[in-house]
Amino acid sequence: MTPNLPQMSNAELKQYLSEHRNDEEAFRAALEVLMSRRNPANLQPYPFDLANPESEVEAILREKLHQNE
Amino acid sequence: MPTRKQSDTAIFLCQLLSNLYQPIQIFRYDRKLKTIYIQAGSRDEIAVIIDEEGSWEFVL
Repeated sequence: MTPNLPQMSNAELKQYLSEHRNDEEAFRAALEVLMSRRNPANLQPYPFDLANPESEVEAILREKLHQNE
Repeated sequence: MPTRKQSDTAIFLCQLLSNLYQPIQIFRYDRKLKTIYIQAGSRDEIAVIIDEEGSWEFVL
């Protein structure tokens, strides 16, 4: 049975990607759905175009990790 | 194959995740979508995609 990927939440898709990591077609189908939900406002630049890539990107990752605590 | 910029960003993000003691759970390059997907964190808190320009974003 093929699940209805577009109806899944992002969290469900992430779980699906985890379970189908070695199934190229299933993985790609789920990744395509996640990609279709991208918000251009969330796009981060190529890190090496930043003045201080390490500290700037590390701060972004720290913030994301704390959000989910 | 990933582009040079895409590879640079992937290595950079993996190193920073390591600096923060975060396990990398999934690392995939999809040849058709030309996208790198990384899922990381002890509870998979982080999921990012990296495009051909080396730009990246959280997808969760």
